[in-house]
Amino acid sequence: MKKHVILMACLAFVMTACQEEKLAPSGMFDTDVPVYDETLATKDFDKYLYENYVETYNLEFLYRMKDVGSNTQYNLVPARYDQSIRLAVLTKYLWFDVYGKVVGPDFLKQNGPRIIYLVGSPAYNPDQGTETLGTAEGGIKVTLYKVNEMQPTNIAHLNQYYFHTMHHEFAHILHQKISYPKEFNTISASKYSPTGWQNRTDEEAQKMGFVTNYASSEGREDFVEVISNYITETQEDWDKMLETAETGQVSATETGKDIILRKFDIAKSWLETAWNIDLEALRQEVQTRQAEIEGITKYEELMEEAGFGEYTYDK
Amino acid sequence: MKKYIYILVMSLAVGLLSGCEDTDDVFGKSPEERIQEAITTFEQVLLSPEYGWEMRYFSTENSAGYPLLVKFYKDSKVVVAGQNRFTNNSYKESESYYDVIDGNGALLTFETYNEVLHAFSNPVDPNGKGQEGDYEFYCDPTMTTDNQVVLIGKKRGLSIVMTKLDKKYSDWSVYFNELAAINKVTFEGNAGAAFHLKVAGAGPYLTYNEYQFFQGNTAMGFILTPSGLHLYEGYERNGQLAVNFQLDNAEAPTKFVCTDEGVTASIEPRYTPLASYQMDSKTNAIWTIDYKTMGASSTTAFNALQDALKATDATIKEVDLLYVQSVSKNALRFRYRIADGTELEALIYYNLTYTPSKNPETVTFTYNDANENGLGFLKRAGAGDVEAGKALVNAVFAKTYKVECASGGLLNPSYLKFIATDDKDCNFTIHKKNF
Repeated sequence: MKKHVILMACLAFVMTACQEEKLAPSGMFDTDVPVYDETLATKDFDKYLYENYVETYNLEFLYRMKDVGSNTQYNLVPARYDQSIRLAVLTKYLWFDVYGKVVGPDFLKQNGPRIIYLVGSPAYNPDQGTETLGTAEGGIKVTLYKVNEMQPTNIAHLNQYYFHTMHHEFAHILHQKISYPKEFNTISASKYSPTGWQNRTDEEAQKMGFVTNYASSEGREDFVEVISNYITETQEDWDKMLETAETGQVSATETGKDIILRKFDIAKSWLETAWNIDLEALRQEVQTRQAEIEGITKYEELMEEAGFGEYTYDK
Repeated sequence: MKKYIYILVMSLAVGLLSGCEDTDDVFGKSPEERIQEAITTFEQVLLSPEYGWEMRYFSTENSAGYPLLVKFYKDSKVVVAGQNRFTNNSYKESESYYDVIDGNGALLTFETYNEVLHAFSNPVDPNGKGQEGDYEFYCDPTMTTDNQVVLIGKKRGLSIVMTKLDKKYSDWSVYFNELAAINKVTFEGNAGAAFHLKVAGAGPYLTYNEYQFFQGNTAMGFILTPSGLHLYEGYERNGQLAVNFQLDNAEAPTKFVCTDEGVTASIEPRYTPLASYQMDSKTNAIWTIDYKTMGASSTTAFNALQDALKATDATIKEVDLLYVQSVSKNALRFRYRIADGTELEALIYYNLTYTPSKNPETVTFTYNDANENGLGFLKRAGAGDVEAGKALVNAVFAKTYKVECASGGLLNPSYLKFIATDDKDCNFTIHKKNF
């Protein structure tokens, strides 16, 4: 018996001895909290990003393009350094700090994207004749394209290429965590066109009951477009869109405007009940800040306060 | 039986233990340590040259090549300089940031936008492709020397040679000034020129356009640097691969000569300068005569013609040399404006007598005739006397000239200089307007 025990113990030792593995210095999981490297020429910006994004919102703002982080089906180039600074400052003011103020400081820490990734060039889809303005992957990462063409005090341009996209992608992140009511998808079910939406003008789509032509591609895009357009458009532009929509008779009893407002009510209610977000308050805050940026002075102040006055304008 | 079981088990144990070697012991270091070492080594190589690198950049295998100068700094800054069509042919420096990362190997990546380098990658076209050049590179350690490192583009796999800059290029503008000087005697303004590539005695005829040679529709990209011309893929014939070439004479080159060991090769103009203009080929070509930069004697004679026209309130705007197909004659074409602002065109026919390929080439201008407007021009210049007007024009042009490439040598006939054989101060330059 004793011999058997010794024998089994030897076997056990042999079997386990081969399993020793050296862990990487970082351990089994990459738990590194991103910190900035003070030896780099970009340390001031890196420090700003660490303090204002990582520490405040638990988010990495990646402006240095690593090709492994990009969609390899496109030909892309990195963002300009000065444009990255401008976008970082503006994104904090026009987006992150808005949620921080309206919804609470921890909301984005808990629910927001973990990564914003900047790409300098557009992402062209040559087969469709379109370009991708932004992508949100798995609720973790938002990629913004065309950063090199950004016009920092042109709110219409900023919304069209960046902030509308960010509200749009963030709404995706939220509904990927908590689904929106299924009834939304039934409102315009027969009218969605995933491959043909780009052949419709915005005006045509509005008459059909969509806020934009892209909203008419599929239900989930429709949902987030309602939210992102309402937040970023001025009241005047929103009303003008509804006026156009009203001229389209979608059914015997409803116009395009009626359809859009039905969708809007669902989206607004969902934000309130699922996320405790007052859409009107959120919008008001965004609109106020946008108007300030268009006045240019505020933009210059923000850049100075952030310590990047020399990058306010192109040299 | 029990004994056999013990032997079996112990054999098993010994076998397992001996196979249980730490695989890392084969390399002596962990994979993380090895990749970090490769990254550090690559970084040190990049930082090593005091004056930076000459980078011979190609976007694709057959594209034109452009030299860029690059300097890496320890704080991740990188400066790239270029002077090419993407910088509007002006010297341009751009500062951005780089890193060497673990990208399945030590990978150099230009991580923020550089206006000089990323011009070759920017998808500016609606097709979303642009020049499709790389901006991330591995290092080919087998090709690294004290003076040179070869980068391999991550997407395209092209070899991009970087050579350490000599102290004389501490001021980078010196490099591009030298390049401009070489370009002037070779390829500047020389689109469409015909060349003959000979390797081991024979080879194809090529047409030049923007740092590419074309054999039919097949492009052969090359790069021009102060050290010479470098074909990207080279041309092989009879076991000789010709890649690197130098001018046979810096100021008055007649050909490029291959410098690769054991290779006999050259790139020569296919035609002599005047023959390349095909003045007797009945094309629709037009050559502008630069009358504002004529030699002293020619200027004196031309001024006399202009003064005679001014007396009638007429001003010469342009003087061209062309072949008029309708009458099968060469002509001087004077475009001139008269008092009421009307612009007129006069054709004065000249016989051009020359022997192609004769060295040196000479051409003789002899008055032949004029069209109706031309006769009117001569009458105006001669104060009513056509013969007097003809004499004034003949005083400028009716001579025998030696023909040279204005830039020197034989490689770049984009500007031709005509120098009278009996008076070197009687000279003018022509350049292709429409060829």
